[in-house]
Amino acid sequence: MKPTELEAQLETLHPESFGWALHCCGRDETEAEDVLQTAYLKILSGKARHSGRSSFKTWLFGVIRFTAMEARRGARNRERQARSLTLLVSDPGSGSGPDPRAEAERRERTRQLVQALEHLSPRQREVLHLVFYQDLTIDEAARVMGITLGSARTHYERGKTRLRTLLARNGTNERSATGS
Amino acid sequence: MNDQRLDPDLGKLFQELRAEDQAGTPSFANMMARAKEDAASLGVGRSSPAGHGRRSRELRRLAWGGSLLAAAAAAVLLLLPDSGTTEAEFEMAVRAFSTHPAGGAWRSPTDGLLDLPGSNVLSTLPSVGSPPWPLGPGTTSRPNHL
Repeated sequence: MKPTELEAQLETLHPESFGWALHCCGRDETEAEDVLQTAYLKILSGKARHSGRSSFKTWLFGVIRFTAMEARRGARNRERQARSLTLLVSDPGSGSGPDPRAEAERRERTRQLVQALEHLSPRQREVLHLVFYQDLTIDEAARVMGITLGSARTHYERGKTRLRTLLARNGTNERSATGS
Repeated sequence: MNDQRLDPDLGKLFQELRAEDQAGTPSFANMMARAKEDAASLGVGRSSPAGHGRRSRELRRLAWGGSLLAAAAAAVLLLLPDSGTTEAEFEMAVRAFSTHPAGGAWRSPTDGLLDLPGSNVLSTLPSVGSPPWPLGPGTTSRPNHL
């Protein structure tokens, strides 16, 4: 693949890649940015190369995931995640929509979703993110995570059930389902 | 089929989160520029994904060169005349070996029992002699009537 084609593909997938990096870094934006940049560096330098065995997106997500794991190996701590969650909750400035009330409700729903996801196992969180957030199939998610399809399906089903329970406890899911 | 279609309620929540994240996505151009700077500072040179391919091509070329050199060396060794041993010395060595096949080796006291009548025929070189027809340039090694 030519460098220009490669860059074009990376640019197309950039928003999703950032979302995935954000997830892999416990929603720490600074860390996610560093991880994504390192992943791009690996790709540009040829250290990571797409062999064509899987789709470009699946491969790219695998590179980002691995890079995030490398980055977090030494510096994994829960405080950072808690801080980013607090920032998410207490950030009133960005993304002011047309209806402040609807926007506030939407923010509350995403906050509750993020909080509920924190109570799932890392595998369950990953597979749900890849399927619901990144629109991947369970098979593709399994490839990104480096696990079997059966295992991914199990994590997916259990994670979904647990997430529903957690959301129902807060009433988020019902509100979302009714379109409020 | 994508499984999130079966759970639109969860899908909607995740899509809201995604929209929120995408609003804060850093610029691709800036990030790529920084990655290229890093690649240059790391000595990757022209940061291209072809770097890996170039390296493997060089390795392949080296492997081929090495194999060719080894083959050439083997051919030279095989084709060079053995200057150390003349034909007469070789003949003597064969004769000595034929006479005393276990020369220099340990001999059992009962080895003599293995010497059978006529065994000397086995340890001598028969003389073939000269062919009954003349051999020279333009002649075949076989008589015409055969």
